[in-house]
Amino acid sequence: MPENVLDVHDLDVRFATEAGTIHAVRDVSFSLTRGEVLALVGESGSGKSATAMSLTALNRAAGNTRVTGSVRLHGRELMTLSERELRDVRGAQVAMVFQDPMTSLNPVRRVGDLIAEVIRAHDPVPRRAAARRAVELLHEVGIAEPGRRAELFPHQLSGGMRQRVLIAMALALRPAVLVADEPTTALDVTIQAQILRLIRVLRAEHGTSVLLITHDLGVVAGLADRVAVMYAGRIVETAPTSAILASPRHPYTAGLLESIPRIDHPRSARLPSIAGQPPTLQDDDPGCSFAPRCRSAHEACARRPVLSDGIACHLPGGRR
Amino acid sequence: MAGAELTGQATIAGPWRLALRRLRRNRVALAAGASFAVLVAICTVGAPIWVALVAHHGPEYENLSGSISDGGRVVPVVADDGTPIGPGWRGAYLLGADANGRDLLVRVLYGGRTSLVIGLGSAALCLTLALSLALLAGYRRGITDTVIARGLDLIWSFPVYLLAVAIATVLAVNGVHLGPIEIPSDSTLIPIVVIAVVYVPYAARPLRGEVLALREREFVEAAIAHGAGAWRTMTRELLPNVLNTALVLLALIVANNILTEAALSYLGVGVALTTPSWGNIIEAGASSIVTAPMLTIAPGVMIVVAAVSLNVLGDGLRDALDPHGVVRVDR
Repeated sequence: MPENVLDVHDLDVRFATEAGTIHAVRDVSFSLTRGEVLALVGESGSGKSATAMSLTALNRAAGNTRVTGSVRLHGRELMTLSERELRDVRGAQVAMVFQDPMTSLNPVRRVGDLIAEVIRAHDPVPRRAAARRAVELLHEVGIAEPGRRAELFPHQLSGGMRQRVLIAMALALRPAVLVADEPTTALDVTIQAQILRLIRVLRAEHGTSVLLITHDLGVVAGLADRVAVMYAGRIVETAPTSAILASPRHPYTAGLLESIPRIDHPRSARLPSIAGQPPTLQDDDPGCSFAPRCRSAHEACARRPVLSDGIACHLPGGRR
Repeated sequence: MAGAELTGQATIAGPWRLALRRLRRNRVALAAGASFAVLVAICTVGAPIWVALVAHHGPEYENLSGSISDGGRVVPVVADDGTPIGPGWRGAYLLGADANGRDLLVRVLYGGRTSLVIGLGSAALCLTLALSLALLAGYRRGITDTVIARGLDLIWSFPVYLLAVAIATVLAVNGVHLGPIEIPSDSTLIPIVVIAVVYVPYAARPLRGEVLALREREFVEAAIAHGAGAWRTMTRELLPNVLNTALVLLALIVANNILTEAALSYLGVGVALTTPSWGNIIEAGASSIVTAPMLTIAPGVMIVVAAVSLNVLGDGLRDALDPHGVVRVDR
């Protein structure tokens, strides 16, 4: 068993809002080994992004958020670090690739400067050296004519190139963990494939562990080694990608997979969907959060199932 | 791979160069900028040259009993009834003299130095303070922002001139004694500081709003996620995005501050009377506005030229720096 790069244990995130406390992430635990790609899958509001933001306490500055639990990077606890110590971790050891390359780049600065900025935030290298390194990184993420393109402003680049720039920024300091929050959602399908290939190559070259946050199961199939499915703030199922795609055990996972149109299946009149709405994350009901929408719910589901052996369900496999 | 060929310099032009290009197409703004530059040049470089080559006396030289030859006749600089000589086509006293027999043109030129230094200096100070407060409030948000924003409201709630007169009066009487900082009561630093402070909200409030909006943008979040600290986030991410607004404000504030200097000096709480400034010259000449109107007209025209040219330039800058600008240059 290889040593874990990242260990998350009992992560719990609550936001205080005017409408009451939102319990966004509930007892989430997972780990990442070196070079592993773990996909965190779930619908909007299931707590994926809140989990990602909590890893380096990015949501701590917002006064209304309370995060508890443990996040260990190479065995070092991050939750108790000061803001100053965290600054050295962010970007250098745990880096993020954001969802929207249109808005995640400072519009008034040249992309080369943006990358150099990340380097200089951690490493007091001379301006020139940082600029040279930025060009190398642009080359590394597959941007042609990197020297010329480093001089460009974000609006002069296409969406795919901007996403490459974001990845170059994230990789500038060779982080151990790359958190990619919906890295392909804002891109065309063809560009998506390029970006996924790029992440795969970089992972192989540098042994970077990747926490991939997505609701796109196609992306999961193409990139992830392992999948953790989140529902209402909890991980309800976790398994190797091939296993979960072939034989989902949790009824929610099964429902998710059924709701994807597939090119090799006969086209039915209607795409199946999961009836009902996900629960509001305010009140913590004692039973299974998915029970109200579950086809196989029964009496036992009034008690909350615990995650054991990669699944949190009283009736794994369900009854058809 | 998306590999469109990059051709020509045009692709690389940044927002500043694009703005400059737009500004260059705006003839009115260019003319305004040029006239302000000329004004600065004649007051800084032109004044000593004029004194050395033509007038042969400085701004403080009093000539109460002397006389000069004017078109063949010899006339006193200041007549027996106290009326100073008016403008005439001659070297010295081209615009006439004031009641103390001092050369009006020389005084207007040297007074322009004072007025411009105060206008530019206080605008620079004002904008520095405003940018610092706006960045701090917008970056920290929460309680810091509340304190700064309410503080600005407090200053803004006073009528500008009333506040300026009040502060200037106190400082002009006592000077400033703050630990190692010692400013004598007749220093031009006092009007600079006073004018800068009373206009801080004028610049800080719109800037704060912009920073608050920028703070919510994803690229700021991304910078923090990449390990940028407070200073780096404020100076490298937020500041470059508000510099265009700051530049427009700078031009408008300089114009405004030149006017304020004149007003305060006219009220006797601006520049010390021993130093000529446009406001001081008007103040001294106001009592003889009927007999020697040039004493108020000459510095008045200078103030108008400075203020109008800067305002027009500021408008041009605003058009040029507007990223959505299709630019109104088709005039």
